[in-house]
Amino acid sequence: MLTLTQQLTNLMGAFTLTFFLQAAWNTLALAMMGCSIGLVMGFLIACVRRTRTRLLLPLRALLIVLVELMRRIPFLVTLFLTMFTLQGVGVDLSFFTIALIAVCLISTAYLAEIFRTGFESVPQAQIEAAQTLNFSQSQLIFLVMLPQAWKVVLPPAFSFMVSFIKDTALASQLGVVELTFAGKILITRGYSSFLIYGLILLVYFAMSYPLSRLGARLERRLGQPTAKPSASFQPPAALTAERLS
Amino acid sequence: MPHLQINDLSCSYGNLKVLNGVNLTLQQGQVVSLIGGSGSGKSTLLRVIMGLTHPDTGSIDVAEQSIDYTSAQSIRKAREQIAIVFQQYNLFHNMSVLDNVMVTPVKVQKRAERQVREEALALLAKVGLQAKSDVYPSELSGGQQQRVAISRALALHPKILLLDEVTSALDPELVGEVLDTVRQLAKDGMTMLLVSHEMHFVREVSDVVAMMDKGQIVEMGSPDQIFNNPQHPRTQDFMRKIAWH
Repeated sequence: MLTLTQQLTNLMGAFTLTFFLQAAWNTLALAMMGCSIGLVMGFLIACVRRTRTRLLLPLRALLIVLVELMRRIPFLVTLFLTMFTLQGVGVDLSFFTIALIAVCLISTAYLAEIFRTGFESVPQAQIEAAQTLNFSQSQLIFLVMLPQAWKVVLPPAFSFMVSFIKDTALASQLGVVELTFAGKILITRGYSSFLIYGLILLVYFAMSYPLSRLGARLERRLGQPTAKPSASFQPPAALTAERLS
Repeated sequence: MPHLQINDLSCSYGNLKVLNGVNLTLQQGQVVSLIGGSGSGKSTLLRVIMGLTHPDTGSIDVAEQSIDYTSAQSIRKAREQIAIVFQQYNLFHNMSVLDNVMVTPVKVQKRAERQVREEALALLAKVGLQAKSDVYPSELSGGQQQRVAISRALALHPKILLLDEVTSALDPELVGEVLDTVRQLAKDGMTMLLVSHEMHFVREVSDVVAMMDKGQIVEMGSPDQIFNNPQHPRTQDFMRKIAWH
């Protein structure tokens, strides 16, 4: 077996490196697109679930069923179900696209629940005040509910998304060459497991750490709608600079 | 032309009949006060007028136009002429004081922002809160929040103002400042329907006082008649029980 240094040199060879980076990109793409679409669709589903008209009742019922199903089935099962349903229907899509569809379904379901909880955390009195002021539904949601829902939505949403990056590894079971799968392939080519999995760990970390930092930053900015340092705060006289020096 | 006419209004929550045939007329510039014990239906009446609760039978005419509770459009039209101030102020937590006052004229009534800003600042100055226009509601006292809530209601240029126990949630020393504001509004000729426990104030500022009990108006008359010479046994009972200092 080659030494660690020799392995690293081989790894940096054009072909292997490209392979590795392509796999990392697949993971990143699945995670990013899954989370973005999940956020938008999850938000929309939460909005639809708030409606009361009889007209939309079948849609609401369908969405509730889908969301509850997706949240209770193992991700792997959802992935396979998606693949076999799509192939059964006769649609010819790449493994990556099928995995992407499944990933979007799962993230939408989880984020829809998170947004729903966020909306329910807004006191009914706030909603009634907006209604008596003749706010339209979208004004109510964007001007009053969403700003107040962020502090309940952001922590679990980012927690889910950071964790979800890891779950994209399951796409390997569909045949998508993502990061974990690439690792296994490289190991069968003779690289040391320690080196490969160590590198994979670093890459996963590099993807999820910025996301958690972003989450923390957004929580500070959006998640505290009522906090604002009071301009009129005066420290007690005992703590002013002259006394301390 | 009566500003507000309530005809034989009934409303129930499940089996409990909260309003039981209420008849009331509010003329332009009149101040009518509703008094009575808890559960008599006073707040529910205001909620029905604002369309937050739908009645079972009876009707409400705003400027001789009956409100059709099955039509969102009809409720919206009624709300354009009536504004309500709640017991718990219900200012939007995520907006500053000035934004709270400005949001409805700008976003809902679609008026020019510059003019609305001037008006909003003038309204806040009238209640003595112009210096606090960039402050968030959580940083204000209850009395200050209630005065902002009154400004927010007045910014809509309503024809009728509903005041639902606006001082009941306040510390005693803050009640005076809010009552001063309402007193001034009465002097300025605003048509108001007032629910209050502040008997001295009700007596001072009302044109008509209506005593409610078990969802009905049991007695109605001038303040002098109701307070000094109540006829109905329930009114007499109520007057005996409330402490006159």
